[in-house]
Amino acid sequence: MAAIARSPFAHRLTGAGQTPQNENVVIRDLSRLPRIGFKGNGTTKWLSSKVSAVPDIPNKAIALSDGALIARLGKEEYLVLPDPDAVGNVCRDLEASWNADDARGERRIGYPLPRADSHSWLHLEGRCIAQMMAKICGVDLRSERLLQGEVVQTVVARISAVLIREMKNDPYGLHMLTDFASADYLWDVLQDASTEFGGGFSWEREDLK
Amino acid sequence: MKLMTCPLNGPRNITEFQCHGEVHRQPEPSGASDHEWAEYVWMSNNTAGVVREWWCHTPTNFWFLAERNTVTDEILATFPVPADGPSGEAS
Amino acid sequence: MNSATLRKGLLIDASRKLKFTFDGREYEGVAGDTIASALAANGEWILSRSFKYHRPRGILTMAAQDANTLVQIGNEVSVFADRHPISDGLAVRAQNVGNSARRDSGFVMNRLSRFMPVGFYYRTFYKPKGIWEKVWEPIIRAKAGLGKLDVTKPTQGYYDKAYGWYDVVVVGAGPAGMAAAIAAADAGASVLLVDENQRIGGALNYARLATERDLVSEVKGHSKIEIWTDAICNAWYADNWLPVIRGNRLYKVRAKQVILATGLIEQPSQFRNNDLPGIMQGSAAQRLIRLFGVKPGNRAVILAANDDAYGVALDLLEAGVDLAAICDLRKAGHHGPLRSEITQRKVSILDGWCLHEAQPEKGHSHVRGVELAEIDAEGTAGRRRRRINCDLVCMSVGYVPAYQLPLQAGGKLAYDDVAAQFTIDGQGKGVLLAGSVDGFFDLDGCIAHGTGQGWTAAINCGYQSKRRPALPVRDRGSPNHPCPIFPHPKGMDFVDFDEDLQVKDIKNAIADGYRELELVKRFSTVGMGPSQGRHAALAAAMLVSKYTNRTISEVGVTTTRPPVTTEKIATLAGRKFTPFRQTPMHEQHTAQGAAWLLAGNWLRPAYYGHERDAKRLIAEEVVNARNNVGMIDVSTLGGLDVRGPDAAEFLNRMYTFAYVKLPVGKTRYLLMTNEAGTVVDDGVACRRGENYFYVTATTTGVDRIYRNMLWWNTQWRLDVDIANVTAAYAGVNLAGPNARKVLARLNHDIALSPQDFPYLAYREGTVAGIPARVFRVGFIGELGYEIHVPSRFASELWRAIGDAGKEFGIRPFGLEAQRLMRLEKGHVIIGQDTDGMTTPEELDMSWAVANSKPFFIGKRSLEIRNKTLSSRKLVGFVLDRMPTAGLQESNLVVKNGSIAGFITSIAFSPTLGRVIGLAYADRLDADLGSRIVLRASDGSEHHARVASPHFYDPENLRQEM
Repeated sequence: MAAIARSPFAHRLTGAGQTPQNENVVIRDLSRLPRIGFKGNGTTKWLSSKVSAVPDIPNKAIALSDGALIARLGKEEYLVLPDPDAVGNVCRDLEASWNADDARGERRIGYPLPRADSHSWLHLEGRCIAQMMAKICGVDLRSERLLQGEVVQTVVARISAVLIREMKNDPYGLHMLTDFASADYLWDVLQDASTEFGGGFSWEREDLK
Repeated sequence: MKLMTCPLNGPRNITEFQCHGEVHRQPEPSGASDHEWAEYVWMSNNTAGVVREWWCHTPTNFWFLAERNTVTDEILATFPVPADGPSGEAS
Repeated sequence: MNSATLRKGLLIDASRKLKFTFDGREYEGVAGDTIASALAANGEWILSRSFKYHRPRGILTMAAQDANTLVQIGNEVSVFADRHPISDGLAVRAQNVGNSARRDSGFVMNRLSRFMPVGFYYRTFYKPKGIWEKVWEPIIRAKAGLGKLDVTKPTQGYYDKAYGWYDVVVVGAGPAGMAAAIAAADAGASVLLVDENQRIGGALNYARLATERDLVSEVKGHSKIEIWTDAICNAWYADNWLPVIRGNRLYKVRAKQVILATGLIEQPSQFRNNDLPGIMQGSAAQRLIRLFGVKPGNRAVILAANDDAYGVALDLLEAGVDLAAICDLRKAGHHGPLRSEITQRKVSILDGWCLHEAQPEKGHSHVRGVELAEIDAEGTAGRRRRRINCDLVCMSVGYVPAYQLPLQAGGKLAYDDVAAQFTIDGQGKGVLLAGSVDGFFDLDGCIAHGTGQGWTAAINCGYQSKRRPALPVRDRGSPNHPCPIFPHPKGMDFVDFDEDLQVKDIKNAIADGYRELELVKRFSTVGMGPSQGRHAALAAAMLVSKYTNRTISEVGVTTTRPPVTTEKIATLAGRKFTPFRQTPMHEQHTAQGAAWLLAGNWLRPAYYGHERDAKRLIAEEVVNARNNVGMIDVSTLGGLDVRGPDAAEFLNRMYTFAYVKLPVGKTRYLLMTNEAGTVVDDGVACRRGENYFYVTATTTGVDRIYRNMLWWNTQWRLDVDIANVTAAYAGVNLAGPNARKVLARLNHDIALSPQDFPYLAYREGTVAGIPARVFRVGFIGELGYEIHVPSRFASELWRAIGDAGKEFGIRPFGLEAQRLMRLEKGHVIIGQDTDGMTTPEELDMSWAVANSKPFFIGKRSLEIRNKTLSSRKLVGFVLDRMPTAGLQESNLVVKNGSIAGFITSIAFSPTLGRVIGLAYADRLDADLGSRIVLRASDGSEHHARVASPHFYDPENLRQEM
């Protein structure tokens, strides 16, 4: 593909970069990474045949051996997030596999969803994330309440969001996927909410390539 | 603020939900008289007591049913749409 | 009245001096002082003037419960002087005063009081007609209200909100609350302990109470207990949702269990001049002494009806106050442990005496002495009198439970006439009461009750604990006098200090026929001031019961609603969250000078350039698109992927048109009606494959339409999946006679000739190297291509089209030009040109309704509605020029003096050189060439000619090129 994918936060990630004062709240934009969703009749069966395992109930995520997260959002709905440092491209592979099956005329295999274009993707990390989120989200996200790999589909600062607690424990980490078109709004909300913790967005010039 | 338990997402603040009114059966369009059809479209029972209602968890657009007492505003049960339709037995 | 000060107290640091001003005069206080305590330490007892009669008022409770202590700080009105701390340079002003609290010109009102009988608002101001608006309202507006707000100054400071979650929230950190918190936390619950004071401990901090357990240290040392002091739980809402105000932040706390340990509110006694500064609750004197090290006076009289009064007496003696007398309302024979301590000190105690009248200093600035009277057989002041000089009167005659939160939580208040005591019962699930609010008056009982309730709360949360604590038995004794009211023939025996209501006002309200408490309240305004009846509700009920010969339990009391105490609008507002959406081309529009418009929650370019040239710029954008080529960002258009074997059947049911036979690679118009047959949305269906439709919906409608589609399919259970991909696809509409040439210049793999890619066709391929969905629809009525690409690549597409179009003079156009050009083509905007009743027939769009289909939503209703057509029709109209009065959307269409319809769209068309528009008009006037009358906002009427709404290129030759 000739064109370069652009993050909806790109116009905010300018200059030499920014580092928050401390590790309490560190927000990174992962929107330029691939991600994909699958939804519809037959999705669970189809996806189970393509990956080693899928979460057995909705609102749970599991990690594949390459670090990719598979989050189950509903009875027949999934979201796949690759590990940022993974060598392979699980999303591209799954999409190619689905296209091949579809072309062969297989039915009831669900349908892919363009999550890389519909949702921005932020990674929030630090010991004050739950406290910061308590100012903008009505669900208790503290580490003892939201366990690793648990998924919350809720409202953050009045927009819909998918929140996934990262698999590792320390530091606390959260993936947040929200409306692609609301990125500029969300940026200000998060910057404001994290200020009292000395936190904020973090990026380096290299991130902008 | 009230809490409501979404069958998919668990207990949430009521602001995450939208009520779509009481479940009522659509008459067979071709068989219903004009009067029956107009009753269906325009009239609601407005029952004082336990009613079965449509609710939607808006962040996920998940539709489900709730049994709510309209007098006390107590939510007695929430459940997914039964296999035999919205008036069916709750699973 | 200046007292030799103690200045050693629990909350103050006497070594740190602070200077502040009150009504412009400078005072010195110490760190930890409240405004009221610091002024009292300086011998300054007048804090405010009363609402109606401008009588001097001072400390009553020292607990931020009464209106006497409301002062103004800067632009913040009604601040509690007995709670707000002083700081260096703090400037405090009295409220509701002519010049200062000390000298208030308004005090003349005190002498006019007999001309202001109860309900005088209702009696006085309504005659003659019109006098209220002209005369009284301006006067009263100037006089009424507390404090002066400068509305031109915005509230300073950052206010926000946060959520909180706990197993158990305990409100009130007195002995019972602390014991409850400890018991709940010991059983494993996470506990939040909330108290409005700066220190936990409640009455332990100021009253004569001693415990073996050090509850304060136990609470502070407990890892499962979080303590919030200076925090006000201002309401109870459904499912244990508690708004707790802490500084500038409002916490919205959700608790599994709530324990209300809100304690008691001490009540005043009613006698003449009972409102003078220097007359206060016994607990207020104790707070001044223990918390702030302020000697409340030099020579005191205590009005007693319970043993707590003797604790006050001992405290006063220890603080060096002379105790002139204790006047006990009870007949002899009440002997608590504290009373025996007093009797040893040879203090004069008068059993069965009341306080009949307090005598004022000049200007009513302070109490100077009291007249006591022996209580006669009727329970009123008898003949035997005794006069005593004093500068302090302490009242300890009874309490009411702090019932506000318990009642909001569903509790019912009942009155036990024998014990002279309120009981609360029946609050909702998950709400427990602890301590004195639930009728436990002795310290050990409070602690034991708190422990039991804390344990129960933890068990209710699901924690396991075997050691069930024993619940105490309520003490049968009551600290409350059944009726400490001693009306004086000359009045000024205040029932409600906030509203300046005397005993006779309540009596007269009843005489006027208002027998029920709720009516007495409304007529007299008792309990309607800032303290919301904390000190007046019971006294009012006592008087109503007395004058209507009923018991208090029969009379009942008024209810209570949130908030418990005053709160700032800024607290409620918090930080504002107003989501907005931007398309991926937003930055480029900004760079091109877009003027922004909000469409739903989307920001869209209205036009490009400066506002002062708006009219010209919009016209230029139209002309360029019509004659050359333009481009517009249409990313906000709703997009839905409808996939599955039943996809066509699904669309057939959702929309009015037929889709089963639509060939792959073609588009078809979509019109949606609701179950009542009213038009609710439109769009375009693109058939990507046998089982795959890409469907567009209106910008503002798509979320609702999507949700609605899911709802229908939970019932139909068709084998179809619907996905809202609005944000995932950005779109550009490239339109104008040169559109094909521009597209041809872009790197693409789609055959563009009119034969290969005709009007209404749908194609896929790459455009500018980006995977794209491309289709040809009417849109603005020119040759045009709608190009949809994944959002991540949209800015790339916008740039590429702009570059490719440069040599053709391409210009971006905004929403204004789009709406104008679509109006020129007669395309209706759903929601603007339609309302809650519009049928397809009224829009002349029956062509888009496939009546041969067995079913679509709205079909059955339309069959019924089409039997009797409505009287109106949407018509096009033209005017040669815009009348000077101007015509706007929503202006009426009139016929024979009646309303026939209204204008839905109107604009000057630069293409046609005329004013064109759409309006609902009488069906009989829908024929081309008919005249309709439009009424402008100024009432002037203007004739317009009915024309085909297809004002521009009615044969559609241009768009089908």
